[in-house]
Amino acid sequence: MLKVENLTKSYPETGVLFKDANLTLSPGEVIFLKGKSGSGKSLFLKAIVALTPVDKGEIYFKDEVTTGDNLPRLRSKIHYVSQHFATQTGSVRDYLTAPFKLSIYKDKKPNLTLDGKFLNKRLSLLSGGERQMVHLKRSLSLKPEILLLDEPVSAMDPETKKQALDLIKEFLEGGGAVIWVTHDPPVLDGKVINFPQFT
Amino acid sequence: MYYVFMETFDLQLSHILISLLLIILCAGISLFLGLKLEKKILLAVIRSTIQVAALGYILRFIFKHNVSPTFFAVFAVMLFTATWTSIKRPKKPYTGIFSVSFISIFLASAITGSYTLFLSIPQNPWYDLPQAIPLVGMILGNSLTGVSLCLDRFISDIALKKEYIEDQLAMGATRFEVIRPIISDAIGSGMTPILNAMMVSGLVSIPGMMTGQILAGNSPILASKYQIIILIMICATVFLTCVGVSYLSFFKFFEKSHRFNEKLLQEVI
Repeated sequence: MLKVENLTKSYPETGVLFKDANLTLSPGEVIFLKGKSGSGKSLFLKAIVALTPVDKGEIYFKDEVTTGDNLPRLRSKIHYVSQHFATQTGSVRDYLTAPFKLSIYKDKKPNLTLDGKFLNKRLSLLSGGERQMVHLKRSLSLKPEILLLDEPVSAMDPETKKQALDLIKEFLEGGGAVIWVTHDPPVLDGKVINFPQFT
Repeated sequence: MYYVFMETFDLQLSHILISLLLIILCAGISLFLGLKLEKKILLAVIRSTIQVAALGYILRFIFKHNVSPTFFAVFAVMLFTATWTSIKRPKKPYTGIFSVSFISIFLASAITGSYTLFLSIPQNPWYDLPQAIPLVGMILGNSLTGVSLCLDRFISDIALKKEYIEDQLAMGATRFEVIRPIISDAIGSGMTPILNAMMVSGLVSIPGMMTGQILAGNSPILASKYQIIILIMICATVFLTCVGVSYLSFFKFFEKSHRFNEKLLQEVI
């Protein structure tokens, strides 16, 4: 489904962040990336969808090389979910419906299964855990095939975390796959990579 | 028809000194209230006095050499100065901002300047310096203000909305989709002064060129015709300059792979 070959990235200031990273991800699979803060795990996720340039390496999604003009289409299939909540303005409903104004989702409709009162809540009033949940739900509503999750449940309380895990399990059972950056012990069955050691 | 609308008189040095008394009063108030603006005010007055006085003598010299190479030389000096001034405002300028501003101001002022000198207010010869220099000066002066505000807004929006932009790109937005609202706001910001001036011109204030012509004794009707054409030309120039500067900046900040140019982004955040 996803194949990462010899992915290498460095900055003059920090040196090599990851070198010759190889990884294969199959439908229904979860791979956890564990490593120190600032080691480049988030950048690795961004590199998979070409949001950051790399020194060398290739990414194949269903045997197709992920470069050039097909990137917006590819990013709608391989969805990088940043740990940063990108906006503070508007309501939860605005946040969930905004992506459907993009040309790539013009034929799709948002899934607003949350209760009406919560949908009308201002984003600025959400707790950290609620924001992560809304962020995850928005990504799932876009029907990606792979999720690249960057510490997606770190601020959630146990009950919300369980709901989030149920959603992710459902996504995996439907044939999706996940690469999950975390500092905590793995919460699902899956391969663990101690970043940046890929072997 | 040309006629002397009012009698003009020659201003003396004493008239300028009397005007300066008002600025000394303002500086005194600033000092008394602890506003710390007196130095800025005095510097601005001294600079503008020297510059405008020098301009009077320089223009008198230039107008004696009424040939096209003189026009191009003056235009070049004004263009470089306008570009240089326009990039001073953004607190965090990026590599290449001078060329972006220069190209935009040059193209926009060349288009509307030619349009003005050949079609809207045709001159004979087309470069007739006493007419052409003030007209082109007004066009350049306004486009530098527009570029300055536009660039400042564009850069601060990119820095402020970096995560939002990246979130959109990560979902599959194209670079053109994510930048459209930012460019729209930046152009709107650059055009605000001229649009505001156009909305109230004739109602709250008499525009600068019209004031000058009336004070010089020209017919108010003729002055208003000139002013209408100039406002239209300035509006078009500011719009074209802001479009140019926004899109050229956009192509510098975003790569073909629909992502940020990281190196440039780091310069402004």
